[in-house]
Amino acid sequence: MTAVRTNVVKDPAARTAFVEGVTALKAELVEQDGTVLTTADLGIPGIDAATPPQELSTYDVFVFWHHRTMMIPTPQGSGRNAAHQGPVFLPWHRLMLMLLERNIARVLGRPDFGLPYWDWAADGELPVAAQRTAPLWDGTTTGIGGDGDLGANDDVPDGAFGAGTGFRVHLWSDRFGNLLAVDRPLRRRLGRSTVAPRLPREEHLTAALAEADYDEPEWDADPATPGFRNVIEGWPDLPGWRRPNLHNRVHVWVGGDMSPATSPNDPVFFLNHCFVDRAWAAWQARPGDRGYRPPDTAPAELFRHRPADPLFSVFRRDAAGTPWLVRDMFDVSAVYTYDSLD
Amino acid sequence: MTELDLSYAGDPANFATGLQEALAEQPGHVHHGGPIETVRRDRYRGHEITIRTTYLIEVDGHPLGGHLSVGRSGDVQVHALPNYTFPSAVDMVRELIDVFPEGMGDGPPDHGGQHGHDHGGAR
Repeated sequence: MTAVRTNVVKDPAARTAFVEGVTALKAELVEQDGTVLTTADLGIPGIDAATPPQELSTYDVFVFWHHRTMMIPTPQGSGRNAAHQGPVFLPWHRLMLMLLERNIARVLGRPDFGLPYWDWAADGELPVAAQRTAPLWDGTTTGIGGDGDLGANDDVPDGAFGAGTGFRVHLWSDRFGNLLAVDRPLRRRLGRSTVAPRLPREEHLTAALAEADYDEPEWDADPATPGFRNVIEGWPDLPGWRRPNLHNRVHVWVGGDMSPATSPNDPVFFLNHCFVDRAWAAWQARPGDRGYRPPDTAPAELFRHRPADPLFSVFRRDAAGTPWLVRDMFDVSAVYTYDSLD
Repeated sequence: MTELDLSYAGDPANFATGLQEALAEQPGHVHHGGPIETVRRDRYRGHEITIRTTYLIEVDGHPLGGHLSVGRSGDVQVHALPNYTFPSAVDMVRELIDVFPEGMGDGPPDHGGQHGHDHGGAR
């Protein structure tokens, strides 16, 4: 059954299903031989002596997966990793979104569930002050919740994932990039970073879509590297705006738990990446050569970024351990589509 | 169009095995304090350029630690803030203080159970 992904602000039913699905995955604990898996089982220390090992939920597995993948340099010694700062950025996150979508569909008993997307470029057209109170940040019990409380460690006070709901952060990447066990509410700092005080605008998205090629040498995060992937990821400057831009800027603008490598802790992570994936789908649908680059003949230093390379995953594809390949993500129209690519 | 069967990946009975296989394939790591060497590489007119830089960053007299990389443009990046680039290490430290105010200046923690990896730079 093909899912249809819709705008989270314009489709309240999709938003409610997303919130309910995330809540259910957060409550579903990972078990092995009848025992719940904890952070200690994965060798993850507590943030301090007072923090005991934390039970891991299905949702937490996505947080762990993202952090772990980000810590795999490709090649060793490079800033490029197995999911970011290189060509695989879009295919790897496409797989991640599909697997969250599939697991939400399972817990909701709704095979047709489609992830919603957050059109942050539309919110970027709002006045700066209005961006922090846009409809996405609904603080009702079925909403995404709003900004963190400045007087309470930036803890999100409201919404379905706010303090006091049962939604707790259990994995956190500290200022050294180390993964630690924690037990605390979700945190946000909407628009408070001086690096990204406002969201990207429509013209910035348009600039990304105008890129002729998918990616180009040196296949990295240098601001001079052209190509759709590097621009939508957000590394180059755009007219009048210094980097970070687009996808990166959204992470920085939301702040709090969206800042470190454990950014999937905030469910907004998936709304952001769903919009980025939609942009890739729109770019792929444009006339001309919309093929993936680099080719399989690229040198070994681009391992995990070439079409026939395996995507790093903690979710198994089958009992034999067959990996998903980068090229498996090029056309997934049998799995989901978007309500619109405009 | 690729036919993708996601049913196995959506079965909770398989999650623990997948986590442990991933751990075995890619062990974790821990960052320590002290000097940080970055390697910045570029190609120009057939020449391979390599620039190695050693950073020793302190906050309130304590070593900051962590993993930095320097891109071809000279931008500084840090593992802890993966969506940022900074025009200088000073800008990077200021943002780290804003985002991670707790314990800043205490030096790096001593965490067991994770293993080291190379600190390199971006091409």
